Amino acid sequence: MNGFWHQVRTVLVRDLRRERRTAEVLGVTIPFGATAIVLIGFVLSANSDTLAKAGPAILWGVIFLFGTLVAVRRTAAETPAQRDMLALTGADPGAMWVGQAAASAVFLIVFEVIVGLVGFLFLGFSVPMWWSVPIVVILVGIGLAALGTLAGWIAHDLETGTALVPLIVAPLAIPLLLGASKTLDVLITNRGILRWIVLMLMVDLVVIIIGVLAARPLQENP
Amino acid sequence: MSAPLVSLQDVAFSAGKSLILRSVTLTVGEGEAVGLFGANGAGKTTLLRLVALLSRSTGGTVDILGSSGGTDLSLVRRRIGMIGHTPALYPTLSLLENLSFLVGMRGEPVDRVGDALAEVGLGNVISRQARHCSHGMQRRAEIAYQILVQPDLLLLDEPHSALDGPAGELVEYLAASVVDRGGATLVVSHDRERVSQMTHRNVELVGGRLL
Amino acid sequence: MNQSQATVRVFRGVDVLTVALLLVGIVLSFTSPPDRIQGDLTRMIYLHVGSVVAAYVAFALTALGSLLYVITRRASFDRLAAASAEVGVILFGVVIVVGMIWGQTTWGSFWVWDARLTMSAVMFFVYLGYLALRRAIPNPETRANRSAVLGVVALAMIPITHFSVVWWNSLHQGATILSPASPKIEGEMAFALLTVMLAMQFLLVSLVRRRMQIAKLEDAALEVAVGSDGFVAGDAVQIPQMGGAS
Repeated sequence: MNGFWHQVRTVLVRDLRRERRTAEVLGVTIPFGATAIVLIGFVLSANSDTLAKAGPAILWGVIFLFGTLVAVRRTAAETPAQRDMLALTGADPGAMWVGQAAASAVFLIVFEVIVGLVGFLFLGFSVPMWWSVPIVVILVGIGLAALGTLAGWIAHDLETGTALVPLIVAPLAIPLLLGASKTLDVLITNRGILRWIVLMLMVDLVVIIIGVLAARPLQENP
Repeated sequence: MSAPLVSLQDVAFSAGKSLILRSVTLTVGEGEAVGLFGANGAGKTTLLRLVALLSRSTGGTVDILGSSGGTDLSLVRRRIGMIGHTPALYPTLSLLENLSFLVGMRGEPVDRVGDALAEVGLGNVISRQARHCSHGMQRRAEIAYQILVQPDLLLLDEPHSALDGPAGELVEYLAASVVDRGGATLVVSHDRERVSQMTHRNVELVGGRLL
Repeated sequence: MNQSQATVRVFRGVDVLTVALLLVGIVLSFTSPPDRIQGDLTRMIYLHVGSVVAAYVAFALTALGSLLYVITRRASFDRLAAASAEVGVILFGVVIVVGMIWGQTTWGSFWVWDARLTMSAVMFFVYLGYLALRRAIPNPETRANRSAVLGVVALAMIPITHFSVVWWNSLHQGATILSPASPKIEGEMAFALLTVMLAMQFLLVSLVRRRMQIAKLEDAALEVAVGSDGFVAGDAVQIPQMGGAS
């Protein structure tokens, strides 16, 4: 088990380093997401009432659609040669999967925070229960990262791979999307929020368990 | 002699509609170096990946380092070293980081990585990102990795391409070091003359069979 | 062989019953009395409900096939998953189109964000993605392996998604114009509906079975092609003819 976590950390460090050098998420995907928020806000600006009501939904919609781009970022896709080399280290595929998903989760959480701030400023909605925001951001980040990584492994090396991942992820991410947008709903109560948090936690756990279990058959069947 | 390191019996491999390997039988024993030749598209690389346990045959039996005994394939794979014909380094990581990553994934200490890079003549560029290194330099770094991990079975795919004279000798040095320790080497190449100098025997892949 | 002959006979029986039931169903759905409120529009419901139940069964078969493939690695389970996903998506297409026409004429809008409708859309897209994945992978074994993983993910996620949609709906909705829990249904209409539903189940079995047979033949054809001499690697390149065709 010690070896497992060491491998997870090694992969995580590798991906963080690659992001630092290429700034693919920080420099490209995040500005793109922020642009989308501003554009939508601009188009709807004629009616600021609509904007305030629809704000949370727009925000999470953008985060989910653009968030899948984090999972299909170029640095997350390994070339066949790199995969082969990694397989010949004898490392646990489950650990590689977790490490990769963890890196994606880190990027997604940063993505959520920055795009969320832009949304908050440009769309002008209020947040009823502040305490829930960090929890939701983390749960969504982990869940979306796990789904995206799993879809990435399923679709790796395919001609249409990068186009397929969002198609696979989007419908499966619906419980997360609903949970996330509910937490910004003005009408919701504490109890209502807890239920959504438990649901999102369940999604995260289910996808992580499947990911770890599926990593080996996905690796061994190139 | 004990059990062979590589034992292929009547191995077939097809991808989609094309039959790439029809019936390949090959045995490589301890301390043996074998050259593998064939035309472009003859299936040499496919065969090498089968031997590396990176893909599964569609027929016949494959036994690599006792892999058919139902052991964990990961444990067998880590005893196999392969240098493929495209570089496997991450472009935005330095040579040192690349090798340290792979060594780290093996669970081995990374303190000797710098020395290994120096040994292949890359001592001055260990912190240069792989994307700023030539094809040949990247290949040298991969040789350094194999020298470091000392595989029992070494698979080389066109090892001499992109390498200058002295670096070409590194390939021979690496192959010899594996063979001297009782390991085995399988070399895929077009350069018959050069490879024949480092192998004990050669086989040729024609029409999905070995000659 | 005796057993396979028996199987063939059973499925021929299924085919015959499918056609018969469909014919009866069509006749019944046009001869049953019109609904008091909705009039003749209600006839669409027979096809709609019949298809939706069959489509759900189809997706359940996809999930089951995926799961069994993961466990046993037998190609026939992969074919079951693939065939039922295809049939399911087509049936769901029918469901959605018919439902939309009905919704427009009855509710005044093509789409209502009701839990059941939302869930239908989700399932439709999940299995559309599944089929897109299958199309993208040429190697049969790789395709079976990876799509089985996706099938299992879908299997695990769909109940969770269902809960989330129902919860979201219970907080959000209340504006459905006509409650989908339809008022009491008359005996004759119920009979017509049951007949169509049964017919669609038989149609499902028959179509999935056919699709699986085709897939099996495709696999066999691939093997024959691979076995023939025309496709061997190494014949791909010839000796270059330098100096052009002189």
